[in-house]
Amino acid sequence: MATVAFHRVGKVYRDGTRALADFDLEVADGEFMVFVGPSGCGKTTALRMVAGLEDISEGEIKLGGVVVNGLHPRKRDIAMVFQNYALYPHMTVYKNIAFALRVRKTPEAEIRERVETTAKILGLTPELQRKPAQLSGGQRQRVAMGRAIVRNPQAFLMDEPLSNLDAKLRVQMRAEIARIQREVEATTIYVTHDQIEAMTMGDRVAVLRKGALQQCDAPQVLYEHPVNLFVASFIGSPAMNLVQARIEQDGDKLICVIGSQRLKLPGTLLTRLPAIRAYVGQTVALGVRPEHLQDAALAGHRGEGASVLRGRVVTTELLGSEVLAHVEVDAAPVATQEVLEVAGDTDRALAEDLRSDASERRTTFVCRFSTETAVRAGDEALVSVTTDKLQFFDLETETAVRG
Amino acid sequence: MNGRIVGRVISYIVLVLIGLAGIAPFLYLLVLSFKSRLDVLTVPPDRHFDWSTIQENYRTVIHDDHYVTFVVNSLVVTGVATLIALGLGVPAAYAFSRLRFRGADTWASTILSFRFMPPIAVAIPIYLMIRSLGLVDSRIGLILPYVAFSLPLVIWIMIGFFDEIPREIDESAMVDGLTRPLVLLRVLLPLARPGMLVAATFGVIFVWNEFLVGLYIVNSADKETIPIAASSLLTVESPIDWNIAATVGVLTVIPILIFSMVVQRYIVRGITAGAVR
Repeated sequence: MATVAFHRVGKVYRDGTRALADFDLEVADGEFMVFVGPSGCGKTTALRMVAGLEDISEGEIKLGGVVVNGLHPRKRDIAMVFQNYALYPHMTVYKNIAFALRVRKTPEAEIRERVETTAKILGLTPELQRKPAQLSGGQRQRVAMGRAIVRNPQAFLMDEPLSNLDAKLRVQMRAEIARIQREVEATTIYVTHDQIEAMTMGDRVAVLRKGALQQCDAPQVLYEHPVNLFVASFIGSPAMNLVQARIEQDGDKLICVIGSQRLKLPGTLLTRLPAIRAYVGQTVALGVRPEHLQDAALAGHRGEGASVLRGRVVTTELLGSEVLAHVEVDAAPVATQEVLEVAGDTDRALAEDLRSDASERRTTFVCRFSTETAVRAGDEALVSVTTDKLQFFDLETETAVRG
Repeated sequence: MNGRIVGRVISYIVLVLIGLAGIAPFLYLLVLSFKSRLDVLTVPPDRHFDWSTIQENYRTVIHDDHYVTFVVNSLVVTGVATLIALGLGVPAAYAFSRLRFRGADTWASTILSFRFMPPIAVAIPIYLMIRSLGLVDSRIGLILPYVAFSLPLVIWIMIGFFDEIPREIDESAMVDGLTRPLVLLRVLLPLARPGMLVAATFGVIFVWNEFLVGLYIVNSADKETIPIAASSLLTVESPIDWNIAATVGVLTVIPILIFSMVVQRYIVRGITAGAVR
């Protein structure tokens, strides 16, 4: 196994489209790196450049310290799992898995041994003599994995390998791929547009947008400290609630004005984010995760008046373990290009709603209430806000307020 | 339930009738080839068959008229021309399907347009070229133009088949360690086999039946292919021996019929199914 390093890598297609710009990243030996982003963000292009399936227009890619820019895919010693698996339909599972070894003229006895070991790891032993057309989607996916791990290559590249599976199988395979990756300790780059996959599988996650790397961090860091509005709205499901808020001075305290309502900012927050003081008198984007919004009517959340927001419940979604309450508050939402883009990527109607909300200066907060909540659609509700978890973004630069 | 059965019976009857209409001319030809020179003129033919007449007709054609020579000529010319066309056309089609090069689409449609040209339009220029190469009256002189006629068709059919095969299969094979030519040879050819059989069939049928170019290029009897031989049998030797003409017809159709039956299941699979997936 080896490291994979991108050094100022760029890609411009022949028609002039730029797919990737100035991409700098190092994947450590044995690390599980996930590239995530909306469609067209350049994640697949970056992966295919590592494989040698796309020319590298600018910069360098190094595999195990060696520049591979001009190298044919077959000489890079990497394995790739494709979205449609790309199994050889005319070969049995055994031959599919053995193919790369055969090409490299591995002795037949060794091939047999390695294929059988691989099949055992993947639970494919009974399927070895069948052809891909006779397999289920999950089994095909496993054969594709098998073709990769049997080789013991420098790195695994996976291009949305789970997107052709149904939801249940996807969750199962997600865990399985993560397990196999740990078992074989393979340096892995995994491309997906599904941020849940990214968060659950990656040691680190690189978020891309329009060919530019936005942030690369451990999943928890991305979730808790997104560097800009794009990452904030892209990572997390349901997404982070974003609303326009004014920072004001109130004696020696800072308060945050959301529409006609006021939230007191606690001392812990000011210690964590002293830079917020520079925004007094200005409007910023306030971000709050759904789990930091609780039903104030329930015991334990009846905090001081200043950390409560009042709103009208639009709908509730009962998820069994929790209730997602959509609460409308009279304040302008954050509808910057980045946020609209993320919303539009999941659901075009969502972006439209956001636009109309913006014109009417109201924001719908998604709150994770406990199932004990009594709120129903149409109710007026009090929402208690965990104020020391609030995040702020500069509306102009769209970057997070830090330090 | 009953309605469905009735519908099915009707549709089978219709299908059988269509089938009979299709095969009737050939059956009539077969019957005529079993008749003597005089009986042929009876319409409709009676149901009296004489084994010695049948033997006589087929012996005349196969033995006296050197029919076997013509069959061999046709087989060699058709077989070699088709193999060369496949050998050149398949890699070309692969390149058109997979590689992005300047003017790829323009070239592909230009190549197809060559096929729209009827042989009669180019028969004389082709003859002149073959003559200046000194290949008149030789098998290779026949094979070269036939390759030229088959090639565009092979390329076009194969582009379609290669386009059906996901590109990721090529990419996967390259990552697995193959060069492009080896990808074609070891991975794609087995997958494209139905396509190659379709292309070969169209090529074989065209070359087998081609008459005009062959007529220009071949002028000695021992080089003639079946269509040319058939025409000369009738016109030169004995004016209108319809029973012999029918026998020649039957014998001409039989090889192509056998070939079609052999490749038929691949062709049907090739045309209907999307090859892979």
